[in-house]
Amino acid sequence: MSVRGSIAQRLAVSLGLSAVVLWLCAVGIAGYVIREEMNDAFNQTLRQSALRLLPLAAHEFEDMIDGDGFDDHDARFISGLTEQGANLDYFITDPAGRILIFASDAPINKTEITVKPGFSTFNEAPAFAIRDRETGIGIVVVEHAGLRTTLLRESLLAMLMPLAALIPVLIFFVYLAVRAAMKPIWKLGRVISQRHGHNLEPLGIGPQPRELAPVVDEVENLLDRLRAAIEAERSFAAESAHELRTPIAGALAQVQVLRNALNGKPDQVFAKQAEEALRNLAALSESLLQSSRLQAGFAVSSKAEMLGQIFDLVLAEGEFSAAAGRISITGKPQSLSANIVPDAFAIVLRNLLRNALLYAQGNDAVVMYCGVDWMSVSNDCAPLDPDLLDKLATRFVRGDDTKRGSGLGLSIASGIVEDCGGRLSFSSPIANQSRGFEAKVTFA
Amino acid sequence: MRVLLIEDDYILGSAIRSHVAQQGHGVDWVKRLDEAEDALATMDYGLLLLDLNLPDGRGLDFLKAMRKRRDTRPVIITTAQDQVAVRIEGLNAGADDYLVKPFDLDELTARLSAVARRFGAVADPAIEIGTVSVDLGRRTVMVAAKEIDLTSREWAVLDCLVRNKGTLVSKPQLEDSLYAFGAEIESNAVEVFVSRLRKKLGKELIVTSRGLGYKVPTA
Repeated sequence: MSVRGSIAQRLAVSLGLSAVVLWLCAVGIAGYVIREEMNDAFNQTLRQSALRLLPLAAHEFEDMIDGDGFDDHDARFISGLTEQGANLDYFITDPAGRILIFASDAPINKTEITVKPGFSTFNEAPAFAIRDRETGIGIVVVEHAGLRTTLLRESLLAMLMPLAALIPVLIFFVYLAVRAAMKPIWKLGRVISQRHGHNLEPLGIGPQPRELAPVVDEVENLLDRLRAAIEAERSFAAESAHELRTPIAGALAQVQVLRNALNGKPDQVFAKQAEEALRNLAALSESLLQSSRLQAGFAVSSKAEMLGQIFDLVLAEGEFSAAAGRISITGKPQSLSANIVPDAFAIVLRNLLRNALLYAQGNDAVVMYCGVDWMSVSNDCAPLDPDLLDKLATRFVRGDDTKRGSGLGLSIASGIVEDCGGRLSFSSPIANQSRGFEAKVTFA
Repeated sequence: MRVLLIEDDYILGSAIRSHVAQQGHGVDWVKRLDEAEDALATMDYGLLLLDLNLPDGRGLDFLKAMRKRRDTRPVIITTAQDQVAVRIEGLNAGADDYLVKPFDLDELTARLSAVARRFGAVADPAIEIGTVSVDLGRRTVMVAAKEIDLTSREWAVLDCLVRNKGTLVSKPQLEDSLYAFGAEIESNAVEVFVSRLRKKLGKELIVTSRGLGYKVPTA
C-alpha cells in the first residue's frame, strides 16, 4: 500500500495555516474598524480645531483691521497655530477667499482658495472649512495628506509583526499537540500491523478514546471471526482426517485378515495387491490431509516449542520403530526449539524420515543431526541431478518413479517449514562427500 | 491372553477381533464404554484395545477412570487422532501404547505382545526351558534348534503358560485366554491343547497339578 504523508504533519500545517488565515482576517477586520474610528476621530479633530480657532482668528483679524497691524503678537499666534511636526495646516481667508494667513510646513503657491464649508479634500488631504457669519473670515484646517493611511499601516503592521514570529512557534505547538493526540492512533496502528495470518491474537490495548473505541471493537470482532473461521477450517481438516482414517483402517485390516486367511493359496496374491493399493491410498490420503491442514495455516505457533519429545513419539511409531536399527540421531534433539506447532513438526519429521528410509540404498542408515535451531536427515544414495534437486519441494515430484512415494512429503514439509519462517534445503551429494542426500531444516 | 476390544467401527472391529483371535487370544468386542465397564467388571482381561472416540464418551476419560481406581491392566489406544497433544494426553492418562489408524495388523500384534510382555512375569521375550526355546516376540518355538509349527490355539496355551512361568495357571484361566464370550468350549479343550503341546515340545515342558491347573517350570 502506498503511503500518503503524515496525518500529524497535515494537521499541523493545516491548523497552522488556518490560524494564520484567521489572524489575517482578524487583522483585516481590525484595520477596517480602526480606519473608521480613526476617520471619526481625525474628522472630529479637524472640526473641533476649526471651531475653536475660528473665533480666535476672527478676533485677531479684527484687531489687525482696527489698526493694530500685524504685530509680534499676531505673528506668535499664527506661528503657534502650527508647530513643527504638527499634523494640521491652517488657512485663514477673508470673505473673498483670499488667504490672509497660512500656517503650514509646505509653502502654498495659491493666493486664494475655495474650499466648501464642511468636510472636503484639499490637495488630496482631508480638510474642514468654516466661515464666520459676521466677519466673513474663514478658516480651513487641513490634515497632512497620507497621515491616516500611514497610521493605519503602522497599526496593522504592529498587529501583524508578532504573527511572523509566532507562526513557527504556533506550528510547533500544534505539532506537539497533534502528536500527543495521535498517540492512541499510532499505538492502535502498530498493534494492528503486528496482526497477520499467523498472529490473530486479540489486540488487548485497554480502554481507548471515544473516537477509536468503535474501531477497536470492530477490529477485535473481525479478529474473533477470523480466528473462529480458521479454527473451524483446522477442525474440519482434523476431523476429516479422523473420518477418513477409520474406514481406510477398516478396509486395510479386512484385507489383511483376508490375506492371512488365504495364506498358501494362489488367490492370496490378489489380497496382497489389494492391501498394497490400500496402503498407497492411505499414504496418499494422509498426504492430502496434511496439505489441507497446511492450507488451513495450522503450522505456526505463537511461542517457541521444545521439540525433543516429538522425536521420541515419531520414532516410536510403527513404520519407524520397525526401522529403528537404521535410524541414528547425532546432536541434542532435546535442545531443538522453534515457533512450530508440535503436530506440524511431527509431520515434517515423518516426511523427511520416510523419504530417507525410502531412498536410502538397501538397508543403509539414516542419520539425523540436531542443533538448537536446525536439524537434518541424510541418507546414502547416488548423487541427485541438480535440476531434480531444485524441484524436490514441488508437489508430485518424485526422486525415483519406481519408489512408492506420493511426491507430496517433501513439498508439505517445505510448506510447513516456510510457514514457520524457516527453510528446508536439499543437498546432494552431501557436503564433503561424493554421495548421499541431505534435507536440512533451518528455523530462523 | 484375554483381550477386550473397544471399537465402534464395525468393519475395523471385526477385522481386529478376527486377527487377534487368529493369534490365539480370546477377544471380547464391545462398541460402547458402558459395555466395556460391564465387561471389565466380569472378566480379568490381560489387555484392552481402546478407541478414543466412542458413541457414549471419550476413551481417554474411560482410561483415566480406570487408572483412578487403580486398575493397572495394560491398555493400547487405537485411534484416528494423530495429534501429538492427544497422544501425550493418552500416554499421560496411563495408556501403555498408542496406535494411529490405519495400522498394520502385524504391528498391532507386535505391540500387543510387547505390552503384554511388559506386564507379564516374563520380561525377556526369548525364554529357554530345557531344550525348548520360546520367543514370545517373534512367536516362534524351537526344540533342539528346530522350529516347531503350532496352531494359534496351541500357541495361545503355550503363551499363557510361559508368561506365567513357574506359576500354576488354572483351567478356567486358560479357557478365558482362549475364547471370547459366548464361544462354545469343549469341556476337554484345554486338555487337548496341552496334550498336543506335550507331543510337539516334550512331556517335561508342561507340569500338571491335578485339580489345580498347569505350569511351565522355571528351568
